[in-house]
Amino acid sequence: MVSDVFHELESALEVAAATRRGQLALRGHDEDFQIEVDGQPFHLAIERGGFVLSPGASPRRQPMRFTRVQVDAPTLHAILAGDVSPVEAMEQGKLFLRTRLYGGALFTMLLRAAYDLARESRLAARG
Amino acid sequence: MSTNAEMPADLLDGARNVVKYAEIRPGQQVLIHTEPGFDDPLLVEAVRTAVAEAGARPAVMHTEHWDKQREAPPPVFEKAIEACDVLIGQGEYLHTKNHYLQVALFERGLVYINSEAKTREAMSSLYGRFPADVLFAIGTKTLESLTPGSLVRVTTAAGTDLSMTVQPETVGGYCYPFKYDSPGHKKGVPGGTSCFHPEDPVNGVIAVEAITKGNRTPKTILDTPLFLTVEDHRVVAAEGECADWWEDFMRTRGDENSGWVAECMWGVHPKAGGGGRGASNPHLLHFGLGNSIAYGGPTFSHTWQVMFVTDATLTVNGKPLLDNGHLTLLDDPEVRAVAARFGDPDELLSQVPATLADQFGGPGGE
Repeated sequence: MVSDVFHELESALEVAAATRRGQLALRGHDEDFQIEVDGQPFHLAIERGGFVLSPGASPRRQPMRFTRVQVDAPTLHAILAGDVSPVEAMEQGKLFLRTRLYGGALFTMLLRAAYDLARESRLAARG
Repeated sequence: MSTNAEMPADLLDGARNVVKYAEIRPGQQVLIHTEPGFDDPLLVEAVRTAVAEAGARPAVMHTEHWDKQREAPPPVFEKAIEACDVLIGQGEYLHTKNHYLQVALFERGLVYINSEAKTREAMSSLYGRFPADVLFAIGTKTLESLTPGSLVRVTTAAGTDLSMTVQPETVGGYCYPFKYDSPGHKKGVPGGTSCFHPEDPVNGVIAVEAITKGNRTPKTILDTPLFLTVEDHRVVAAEGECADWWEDFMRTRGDENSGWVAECMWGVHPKAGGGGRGASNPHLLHFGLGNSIAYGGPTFSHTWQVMFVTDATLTVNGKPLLDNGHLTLLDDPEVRAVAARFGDPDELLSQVPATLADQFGGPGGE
């Protein structure tokens, strides 16, 4: 369910944003992402040192500041659960950043922070 | 080396240009990588000095040479790039499709600057010292011309005739101010290339005149063209020199997207050539085939292959952006006005010759 994915992503990004890596991705940047999960768009705005995630397409598609992210729900869930890293998903052809040459890393950095936190939680749960 | 009295002014100016292009900032930890053959002490000291002048913290690491496409990097180098904000590659191009660099860029936010002026001569020349503001003016105008939905057509005297369209989010290259960049990007400096991911419909013929190494290619610069027929975005047939190699490559290593036209890139730096990256000269244009992820495309492939053509005419909705290898925007009044702030526009914007040998024969080549 895409709505479940939206809430899962929002929760994960909120925690990821507080990490050092998350802050590196957020502070001082102004970029928009349209995250298409199984074709359903969410809009992630990175601005003023934080982010806002909302349902629907990005209203601002400014060149050099905009990235379309394409991923399926199982892959996104696997990343947020700490099972597959963002780069692994990219290298498996399951996560696409449709943007300028070597752009879009702010989002994958946030995903990596969420991935790390999920793995740490799992390790902690094992005691 | 610590005496700036021995430092040629032009070389230091070229190194300062690297810092300006890359917008190195105070406090950043900057690693300068060198290796045998790419370790001119005076050049390295110039880059180190320029980084320090910017208030950043430079460190120089000299490693042994390794095959950047087939071998793992030295472990000490891999660890070192985990601890820096910016990596200036003064050695060979590191091939960013390697997993360790993908992680560094897309997950850790490393900024990788491939310094393309690999020799003292190149960094001291007008190519290395070319005013960043002028290149950014050229680049910005170029990117602005690639408006949404534009029809782009590339033709060459050798027989290339390929048509495609443009989606604005994939337009980029190494030609615009770094204020548009964020952690996790890679840039060639001084750069001078513009590119986009070709969007559907993509059809026509590429008359390949040179092939990059890396996929057991039998030669780089061809005597006669390799004609690749593109239908519905993918190469479907090959004829001419090295056609056997292409067929064998596709049969043994290819996948369904190995023939995907993933990148159209051309030079916009009027002074690029010997000692630097020939591909940055408008006389050269290349197409990348295969994995389109780094170029904003929608397809994944395990393979990557670059094909060069020369003296292309590239039209955007019928208007020439490249005219037989001449970048028409070099004659644009706004670009000339920016150039006039730094010198004689006729001198700064006159386009030097470039051949495939500049791309494949020199230290800045591939």
